[in-house]
Amino acid sequence: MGSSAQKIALVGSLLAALVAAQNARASEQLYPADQTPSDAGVDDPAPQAASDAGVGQMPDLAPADLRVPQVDAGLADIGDATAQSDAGELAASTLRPEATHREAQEIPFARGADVGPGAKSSRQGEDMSVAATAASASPKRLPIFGVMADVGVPDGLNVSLAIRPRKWVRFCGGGGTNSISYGWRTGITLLPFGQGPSASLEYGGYQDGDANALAKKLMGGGFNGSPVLERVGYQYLNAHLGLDFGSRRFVFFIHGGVSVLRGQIHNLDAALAGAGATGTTEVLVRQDPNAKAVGPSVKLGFIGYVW
Amino acid sequence: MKLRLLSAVSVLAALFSGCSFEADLSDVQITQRGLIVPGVPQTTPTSLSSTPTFFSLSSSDVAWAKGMKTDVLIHRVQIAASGSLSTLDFIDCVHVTVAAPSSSEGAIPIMDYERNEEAPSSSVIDVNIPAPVDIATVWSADETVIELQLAGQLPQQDWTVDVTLNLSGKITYKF
Repeated sequence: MGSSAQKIALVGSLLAALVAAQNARASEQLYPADQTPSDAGVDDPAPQAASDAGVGQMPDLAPADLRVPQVDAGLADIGDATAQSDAGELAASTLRPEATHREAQEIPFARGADVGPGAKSSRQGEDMSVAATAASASPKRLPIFGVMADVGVPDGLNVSLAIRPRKWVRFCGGGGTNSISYGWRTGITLLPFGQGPSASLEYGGYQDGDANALAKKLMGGGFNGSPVLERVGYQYLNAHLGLDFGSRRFVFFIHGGVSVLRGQIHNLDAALAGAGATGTTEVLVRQDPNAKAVGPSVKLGFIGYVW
Repeated sequence: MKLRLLSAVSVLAALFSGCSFEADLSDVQITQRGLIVPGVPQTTPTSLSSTPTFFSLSSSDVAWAKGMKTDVLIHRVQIAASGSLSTLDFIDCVHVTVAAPSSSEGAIPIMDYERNEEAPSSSVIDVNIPAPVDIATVWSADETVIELQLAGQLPQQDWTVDVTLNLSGKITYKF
């Protein structure tokens, strides 16, 4: 029943909330819940020294991402080493006892020259890119943004942007048609198990349109049209339970439940002209009635997650 | 098991939720034209007299408007002179009731009007009812009778008025 501006503001607020949720999710992937940014870095136990050596500039990367295969000593050891020594003295004091100075010179990061700020910087870039690639290619990350298409009653045919910030929740917003006019819809779906049973709540609306053409198709040529069908529009609220199949890239769903429709009945006076009067009695509808209908509803559709 | 249970609940909810339709009509105007008011013989030229007159609204008369079954309120009553009458200044008091012959409930008073002596001459008595009474019980009967009790220096000959009622109500269907 609100204005178009209110509807746009509602959708905008929804999208803003979803983007914020996505940012939080990305942050969570870099910093797991049990590891703070400083924990994930390599600055302990000698943060300042490590920073001097350049290693401390990679706080976002887990130690495992920075390990060099040939070096048995952990990254923390390198941190200790850089804290204790200048670049040229690093290897002998930090690598395993059997490692010679020559061996140490052959080991990246252990050689004095490589630990210098310039060389370290390029190596650090490589390691970071490797880590980032590994993160983005993680098989556990679900695509978040997708396109949803569905058809049903009273929704009509809708195409929506679907956003899945968590595997158990999905937001959608889009538009469509009911063969009478164009409309919009937004909603939220909860999937407690990530897939399978779902519960949805959606709100949408269709602007006024002429439903006589559709009525003629449905009722045949004998239907001559009705003034009351010249302006048909409504808002609706769906409360659905359903099943969602698939979980990663493609999801097929079938939802059913109850819908509440609200709208105004226009031109009722013209439609009832002559029908509500006999002789000296006259009946007029001076104001368009508000109508509400409650009934079962169903829809099915699919979602293709693209990113 | 959970999947089966939830899908069954979903299907049952859809099947047994049923359908209902409700229309809220905020302003329906029903007009009875040419209502005949019998003339009252006067004993003296200045004597006051009163006469009841009524009209009935049956399902065949007002068709769909009788479908209003709940929250039926009369908000306004207009009585307009018709025929050869040019004014209704001779009416001092009007009392309107609504009743249903088939209902055990008695007549429901709708409005009382008393003419102000300083009121300008008019061919219409227009009364807004600030606190409308719900007449759903008598309106839902097949036949509803609206009775007007008029008092004043009434004409000796029969005369006619148009009576208009402004109602609101709800039409409800359940399937």
